[in-house]
Amino acid sequence: MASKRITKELQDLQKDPPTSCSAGPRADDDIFHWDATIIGPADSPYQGGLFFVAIHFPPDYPFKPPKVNFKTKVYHPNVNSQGSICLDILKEQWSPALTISKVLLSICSLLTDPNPDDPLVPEIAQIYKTDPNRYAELAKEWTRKYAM
Amino acid sequence: MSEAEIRFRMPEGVDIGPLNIPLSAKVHTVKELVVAEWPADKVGKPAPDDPREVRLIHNGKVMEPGKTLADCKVAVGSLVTCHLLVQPKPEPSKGGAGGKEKGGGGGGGGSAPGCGCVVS
Amino acid sequence: MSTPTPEAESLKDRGNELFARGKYGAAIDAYTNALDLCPRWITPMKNRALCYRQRRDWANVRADCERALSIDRDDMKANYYLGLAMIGEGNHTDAARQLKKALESARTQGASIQTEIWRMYALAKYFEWAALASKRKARYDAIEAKLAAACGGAEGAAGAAGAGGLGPGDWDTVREMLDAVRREDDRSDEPPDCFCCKLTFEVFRDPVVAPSGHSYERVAVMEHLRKVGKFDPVTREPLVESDLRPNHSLRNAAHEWLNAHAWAFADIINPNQELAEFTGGS
Repeated sequence: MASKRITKELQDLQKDPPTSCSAGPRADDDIFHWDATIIGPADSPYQGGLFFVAIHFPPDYPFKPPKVNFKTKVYHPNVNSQGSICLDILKEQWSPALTISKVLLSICSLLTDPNPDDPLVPEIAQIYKTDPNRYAELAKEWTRKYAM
Repeated sequence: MSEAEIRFRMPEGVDIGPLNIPLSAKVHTVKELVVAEWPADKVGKPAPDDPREVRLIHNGKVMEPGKTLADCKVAVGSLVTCHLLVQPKPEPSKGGAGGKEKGGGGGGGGSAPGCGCVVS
Repeated sequence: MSTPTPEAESLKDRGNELFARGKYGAAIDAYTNALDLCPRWITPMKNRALCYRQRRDWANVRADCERALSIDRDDMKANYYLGLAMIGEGNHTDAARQLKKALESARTQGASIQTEIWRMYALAKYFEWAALASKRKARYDAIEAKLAAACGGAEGAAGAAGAGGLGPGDWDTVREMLDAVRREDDRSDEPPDCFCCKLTFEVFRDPVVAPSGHSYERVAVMEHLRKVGKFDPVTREPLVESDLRPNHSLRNAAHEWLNAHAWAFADIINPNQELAEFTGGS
């Protein structure tokens, strides 16, 4: 079922992708590994940046969530230096009714709206909570440095 | 048969095209084409002066300027969507890029970037 | 049906063992010997059919299945293998009918073989449609050419009114009518979302409805309950197997849609790849 379902998601994405995300298989012969890009959301310090993301579908997808990692460095309380993302729907809140398109859109929302109460990088969460301007400055700087 | 029908989707929610472009076209040529077709009134900002500021993305990958559409595995036969992002050359002194944004520091307490559209 | 003698029973067991080792010729002999002792015992007939299936000897698969069905006409596997034999022989219309019977027996038995039979049913339906569509296209092309000539040519050579009073001015109308008819075989439209499972993304085969009102493909939602958790995949309300009810109306509607748009069976299977299994070719 996995490859069938992934193929269909790909078709849907190609037909009408979200405005901010693009995704597709890395190589023709392997539908389980994808590359994706996320365009930094407007009204966020990531605006103007282009963020690369790697997606790996497990063999029993959609009954297990996809593994999603940032390849571009991001200054964000819920993304660590390895690119790991702390997002509930990629873990215990996963449902097979979700799609990779919804996951990418949720990551966009996470960029706009960090979740400092469930941080992966506590230091950034701390700055985000206590000094939002400093956080925005740093996030912008990283975006300029790594995502442009 | 060797033409692709491509729609260029911008983060502002505006589409350019679809345009019919030969698969043999180089990506930098496509960028020039896109700039020529730029719907300034819909995007709300003028086309970039330099087509090189345009980044085109297809299937999660950036399309490199020297490659052809065929190299980028753009398919024929059905409508293809490419994403389009303008990344101005880093000129931090000029205010143009961040114009739409709500200033550098003004907001005080509640100015954390939390007002974007939330997608469930 | 007859009760097998112990001797026939042990011959059948030996056949099964040989089958498992891939020795189909020897297995066929063992089943044949069992059938000599108990001519109306259908198990060795079906097993022998399975051996012939491995060899793509469709005439013998069909013969054994027809014999088994003359004894028990509702036997699920005999109907199933007969359907396969008919696909192998290129008789897709009869194959589809046979596989549908097999599917119905499988449904009442709740057998897990359902998915497999469904896929073969989809295959037969797809090729039945493909054959009809190509014949239809040839007929339409011929008529189109005649009508174009009658209208004085597709280019519309002015003045030359043709047979039956058709003239150049009629060509656009004729063309419009032909296009409308041809659209029946147009594959560009997608299965409507309401007929597709939100988990498999495929047209429903055997949908069940949850208390939330959302329907899911039965095997998919069962796998979800087993592997992911006891909640509704869309609403996240608590959900257990006993909450699920078959959704007959949706199933019938989805199947009716499929029958009317039989090209969409290609959405369930990869027709040419699957057919290669029958012909042995690539």
